[in-house]
Amino acid sequence: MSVEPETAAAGQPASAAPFPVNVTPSGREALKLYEREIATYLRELPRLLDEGHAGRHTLIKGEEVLGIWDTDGEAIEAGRERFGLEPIFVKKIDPRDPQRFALLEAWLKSQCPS
Amino acid sequence: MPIISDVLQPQGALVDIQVGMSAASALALRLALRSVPSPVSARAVLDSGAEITCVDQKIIQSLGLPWGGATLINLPAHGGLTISAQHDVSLIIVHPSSNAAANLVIRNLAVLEVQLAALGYEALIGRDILANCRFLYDGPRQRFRLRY
Repeated sequence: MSVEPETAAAGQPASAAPFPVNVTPSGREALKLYEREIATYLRELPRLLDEGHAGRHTLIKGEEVLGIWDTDGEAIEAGRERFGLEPIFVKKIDPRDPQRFALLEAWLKSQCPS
Repeated sequence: MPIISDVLQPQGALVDIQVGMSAASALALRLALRSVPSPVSARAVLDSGAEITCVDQKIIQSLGLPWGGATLINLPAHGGLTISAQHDVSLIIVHPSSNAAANLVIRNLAVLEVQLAALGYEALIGRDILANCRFLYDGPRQRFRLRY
């Protein structure tokens, strides 16, 4: 039986070590490259969920949500049409993300306490 | 509906795939009068534990794929909760009959970049693709079937 990280983390006392997150080299680079887009996504996520967009796909540039599509393919097409081969930020709208990004933040802080 | 039926391997349910630039990125390259790299052949495991399809870092780098985001997902085959770069690709699951009409073709797909090659395959076919398929893992008979 597998244990979802969210379940395991929720079962831990507040003082427990942070739940480990695997940060790949490209993930570390992406966190820097998309810092503004990730912040925008997490800020807008409650509204997107309230409006019933869970499971759909959004395209974000900087502080702006540019659109929402049913599939990642449609969001990619829109992003490449507008920005060519520049980095784009296509994200599935996922209600688990606030908790997951909180786990990531706690993990990164534990790795760099200063 | 095409069906792939094969023997389970020690790594699991393996299929042949081709990974290339997404159709949208290929169009952007052509508009810039640049050549589009040829797709790369690889082996993939059908992995119902993976939330999203993953492709080995070396394939991503060899194709020079543009950045498509960052994704934080549960990926049991890669150590659990994982954050990595996302790229857009075209992905074909190649039908063993060599009949191209029986291939599963996805023109624009977001995939996660991870290191997999040491495991004996170069991609994980996740639930984003399996959601549109019927996947039977027949352990007692040591076979699998994928219908799409």
